[in-house]
Amino acid sequence: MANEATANTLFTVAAPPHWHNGRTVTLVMVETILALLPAAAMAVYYYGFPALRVMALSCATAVAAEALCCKAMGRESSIDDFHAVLVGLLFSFLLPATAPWWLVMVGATASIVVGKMLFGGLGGNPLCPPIVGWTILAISWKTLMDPDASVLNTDLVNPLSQLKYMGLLAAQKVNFADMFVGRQLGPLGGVQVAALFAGGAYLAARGHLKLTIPFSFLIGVFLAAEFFMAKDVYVHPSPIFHVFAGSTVLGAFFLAVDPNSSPVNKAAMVLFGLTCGIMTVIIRVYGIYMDGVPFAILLANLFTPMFDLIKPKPFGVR
Amino acid sequence: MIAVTMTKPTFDLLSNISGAVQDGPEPAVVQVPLRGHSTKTIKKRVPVAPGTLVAEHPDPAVGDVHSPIWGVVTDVTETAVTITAGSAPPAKEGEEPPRAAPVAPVDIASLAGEDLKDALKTLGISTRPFGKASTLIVNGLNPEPATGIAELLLSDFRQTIEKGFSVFEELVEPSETFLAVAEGSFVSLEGGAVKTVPATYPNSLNPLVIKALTGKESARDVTVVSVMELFAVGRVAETGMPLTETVLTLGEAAFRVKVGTPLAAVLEHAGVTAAPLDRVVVGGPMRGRAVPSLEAGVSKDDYSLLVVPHGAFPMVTDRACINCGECTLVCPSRIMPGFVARYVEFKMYGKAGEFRIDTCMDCGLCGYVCTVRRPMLQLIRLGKEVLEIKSSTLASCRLQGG
Repeated sequence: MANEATANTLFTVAAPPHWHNGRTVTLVMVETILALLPAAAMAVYYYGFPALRVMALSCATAVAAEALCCKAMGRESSIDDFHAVLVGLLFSFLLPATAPWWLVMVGATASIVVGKMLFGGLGGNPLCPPIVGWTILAISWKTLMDPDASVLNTDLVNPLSQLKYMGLLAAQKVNFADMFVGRQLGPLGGVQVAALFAGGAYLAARGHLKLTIPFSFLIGVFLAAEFFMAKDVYVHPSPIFHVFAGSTVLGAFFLAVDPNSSPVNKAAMVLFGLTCGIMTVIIRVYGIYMDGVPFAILLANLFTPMFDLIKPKPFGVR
Repeated sequence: MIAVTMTKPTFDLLSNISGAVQDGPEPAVVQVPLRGHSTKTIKKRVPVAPGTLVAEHPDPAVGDVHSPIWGVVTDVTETAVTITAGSAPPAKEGEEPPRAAPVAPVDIASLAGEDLKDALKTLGISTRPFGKASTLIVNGLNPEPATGIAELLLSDFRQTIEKGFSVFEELVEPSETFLAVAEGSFVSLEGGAVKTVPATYPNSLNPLVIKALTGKESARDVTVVSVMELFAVGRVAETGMPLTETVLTLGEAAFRVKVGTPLAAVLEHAGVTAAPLDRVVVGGPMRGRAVPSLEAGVSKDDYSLLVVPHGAFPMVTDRACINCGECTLVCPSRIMPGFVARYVEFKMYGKAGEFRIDTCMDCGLCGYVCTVRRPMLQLIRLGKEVLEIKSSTLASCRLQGG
């Protein structure tokens, strides 16, 4: 029978299920940051100390902005889930290494305040927060945000601006191997293609990243690039170029998959990814902005609620 | 010491029980659980025998409750009848203590149709889910992970199972019968075509078993009965006595336990200790209930008992959904549990209905994968309950309005 010891023992009473797969918000955020570290290291390798400065300042500002927001909103601080650090890091990956301190701080604050906290914090954001910050800066301070205009003491060449202003032949002077290892001018983290691929593969292997959206994104880029190449092979570069140039890989594996701003149904995810990919190439071909990735994702984010209307029929419903 | 403290989840439904079903403890006190049973018929200090009717259920298709032991009723509440083993004090000094009359067995084999149903109800079997249908499916899968008695019952209690099966054939009158078993288990049943189902949760759930066997996502004209229910009815048919026991899985062992046996006694019998802040879970890790106290008694339809150590899994939080979509991808009902749970959270039950909360199979996988560890299953159950109450009130209003 129940002896004294067991009779007075307090047990945890909670709702089922009593098991969990162990994947929590904090774990996913920390491991995503880990997955971005190789790209961060490559950015420091190519751009030196200024890149480290931008990344550190951005992360610190994002965390401070979120802490202040939580205080102003009178709620428990949410910075312990590391999402603010991730937003700060991803945002800094979209900046040129020469971005002045105030630009970094304005952008990181905008990412958190406008992109996330105004909508109620993580889970409420309709758009990918780092892209919100980037967009505000890209529209407001165009020259400072343009790596070609601001990063001067470098031998690196921006393949996307070469393509836009000098034509296909000039763009092809940067070979794919160089572009793959990040030897190209662009946003400091966004162009670290190989490192970002590695990070994405790590996240997928750990089960934190579903590859539906990244693959659809890349397929969308391929399809659109093939289309334009078929139209005029002397003007438009190959799909590989579009994947390796600019921040396509960063967008596909880290920005488009932002949980709240991307759809949750399988078919909707495919459409969302394809939209991102196709819009990336279209903006690169027709737009005035060099790299179409952030705007393409922003646009696809706006369609997310509509994409999510495409859902399977529930079990047994005809 | 048996390893019941599971820290590494597995969705494998194949039994990992070694050896035969063991005898459970002989409890000194039992707390027979009640679920809406009427307690008017039972008085305190009344002597009872094994099988004595303790509480009737007003619903003619829900089983009554009986005493599992010789003893005296010492307490009656809404949720349980407490019976203490032994005899009551004599009315007068020197007299023989009062003793309950032994219960006579009922011959089930001679009954059919409604009489059989009524007899089963009075013997503690709920016949509500077992209506007439042209297809009878025996669900031979373990209902949940950490529950491993289905194969054991099918192999070690063949005669009992077959007795139960013939009773169900009588009740359901099917034109075809299937036995669904887990892939990799070698069990069969006379009179039923054996079909295999992948041995992973949630494939053991009735709607998914029906789909695997008939190809249809509809339970129309299909009756599903579990091996555990076959066993229970088989026991009743064999002995003619009311159902007062169940078979409990505890880690790698299975015990025949009298209904109402306190969990403390079961755990002690099996040599298992539960530390403070652990969860003692009855009925499986995905859908079972965590009990606040080990005094609670085992009920007829409990087949699993496990201890989930404190800190083995992240605790439930009250944070907002982050729309990661894990629940949508894992949901066997193909609904969007994240949306449904949020609608319930904000009392938008109509919206939850539009998102087809009614098709939820109650598997608990959404809560298992939830990144924020929201109480998904609890919210969905609440929503279903509220909608059910709403629709039944509506129906009664219509009746009154004529």
